[in-house]
Amino acid sequence: MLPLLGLLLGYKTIVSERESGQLLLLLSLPHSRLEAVFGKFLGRGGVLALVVASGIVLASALVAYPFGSIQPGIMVAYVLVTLLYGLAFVSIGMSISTLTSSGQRATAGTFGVFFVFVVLWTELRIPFRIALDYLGLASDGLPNWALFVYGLEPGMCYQRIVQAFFAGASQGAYLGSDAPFYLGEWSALVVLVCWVVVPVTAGYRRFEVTDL
Amino acid sequence: MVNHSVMAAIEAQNLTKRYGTVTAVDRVDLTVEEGEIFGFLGPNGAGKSTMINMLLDFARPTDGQVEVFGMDCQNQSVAVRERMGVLPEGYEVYNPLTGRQHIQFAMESKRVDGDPMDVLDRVGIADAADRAAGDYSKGMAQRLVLGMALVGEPDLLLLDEPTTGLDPNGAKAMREILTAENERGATIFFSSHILEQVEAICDRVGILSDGEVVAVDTIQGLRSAAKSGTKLLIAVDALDTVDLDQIEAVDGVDSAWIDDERLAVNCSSAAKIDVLVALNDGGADVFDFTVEEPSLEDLFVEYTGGGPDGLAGDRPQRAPRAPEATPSTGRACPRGTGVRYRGISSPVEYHESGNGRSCSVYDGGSHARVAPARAVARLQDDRERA
Repeated sequence: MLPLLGLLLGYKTIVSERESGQLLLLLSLPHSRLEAVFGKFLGRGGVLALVVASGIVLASALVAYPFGSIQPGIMVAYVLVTLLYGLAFVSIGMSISTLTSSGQRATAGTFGVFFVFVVLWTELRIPFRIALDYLGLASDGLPNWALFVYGLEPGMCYQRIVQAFFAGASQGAYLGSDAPFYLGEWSALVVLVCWVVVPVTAGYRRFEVTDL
Repeated sequence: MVNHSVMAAIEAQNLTKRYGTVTAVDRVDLTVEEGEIFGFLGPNGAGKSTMINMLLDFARPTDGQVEVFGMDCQNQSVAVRERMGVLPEGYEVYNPLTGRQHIQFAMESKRVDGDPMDVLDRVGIADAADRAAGDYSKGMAQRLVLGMALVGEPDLLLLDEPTTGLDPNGAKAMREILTAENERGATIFFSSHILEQVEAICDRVGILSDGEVVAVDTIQGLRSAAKSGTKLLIAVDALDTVDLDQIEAVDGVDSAWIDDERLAVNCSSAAKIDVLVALNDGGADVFDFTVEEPSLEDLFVEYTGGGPDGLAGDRPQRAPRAPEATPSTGRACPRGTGVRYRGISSPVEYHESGNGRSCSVYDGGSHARVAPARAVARLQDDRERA
């Protein structure tokens, strides 16, 4: 749900205004392209924050009622992490939006990202292992570096963070006690933050030097 | 940065923009002085918009540079746009926002206070202030964006095809606003492919053809520089007393011949009075004369090698103008009141053409479209020089 919402919030922002010509009106006024891109990112991020926060608060209220209790600190942390997860997809969506000049291409790219990251990714683990096996790079399960690569996807990061910080999990290939640090939950948090920052920044840098 | 004793409003040096193998703007050097109304004229596709887009940093030059008030349009784009009011081409208004909100947004962007209604009133859409701008007609949207451009009394108004979508009244209102802004002290730079507009208000005109600036001058200057000079048709009391060689000897005269019981003279615009004086000296009594000035359209064709629509490909051969030729606009010109000039025994007739805006120096069917004030002023100038 959240990846889709994030992508939908992000992917039209720049390209639709560029196609229609609203961007020309905006940039005729004394605004920089930096303001245009990051202003929209903040705006869309705000919408997402509202949705995520109200959703989580409502859900936990329903779960806690009538006898449970709510720990505000944990809930705030959970909202923030979930928001990061959503923002990663807003950021990816906006990078697509800044890199394309036609709405159709932006839609296709967004669909592609959604399909690969959300639908396909969990199915990729086995083919990935078979491929590495075939190449002689893996014999018994995925090596750590391959696990790292496989675990870079925002959903995988989010999953690890939630499991480790909020469910207290300490088992498995990533979170087990013998796993290296770079597969752990802190590394996942850093990667997730990168997913928020890097795509939209890269998109902006490209957008900054293109002709409108 | 280049230093100038008098800072130019716009200064382009060697400005070039290539898209792949297509050169949209080709090594343009152009200076627009502060306080000028500068018309940028060219067929569609000549590179006018590309040029304006480089001023706005929408497009980056391949080579050369362009400055506005001494600030680089690429590196100091926001600072440049703080001093500009812009009416871009191909924009779209923000659909759900009202006209008032658009003006408010422009005011916040330019950090000025004021009542949006004053601006909307000025551009004539005050009654639509609280309607969604997405429902505006093209002309209303154009007025709205002009209003946004006027916010904050910009030092430079940059307008890309400003009368697009405007009806004649709207175009007239636009001209009046631009004139008023210019009197306030604003420099005005606008592009157009419509000659009358440029002719009506511009101090100077730049003609762009295939990405190159082929001429920059006043309209009068362009006229006198054009190879297709002025044609005089003079009725005299007795043609046989006229010495054609003597007329052709006058400075600025190309040729003289007898045409349909009248004396026809091809000459530069400035030589008109000299011809009359020479005739007078030769003893001929001039009792009528008509002037065919090349219209801006003719000049345009001459400079760009095509029609103003950019449809004509090859450089057309200019046929000698026949007096009975139909006006190039296709409008009939009702014959108006003759005006008699002091000291010249012949009436120069002029009349307003159908649209009431441009005027003709009467020439018996074909006409040169000039504003009446300009026609009169030019003839008087010429007289004083003579």
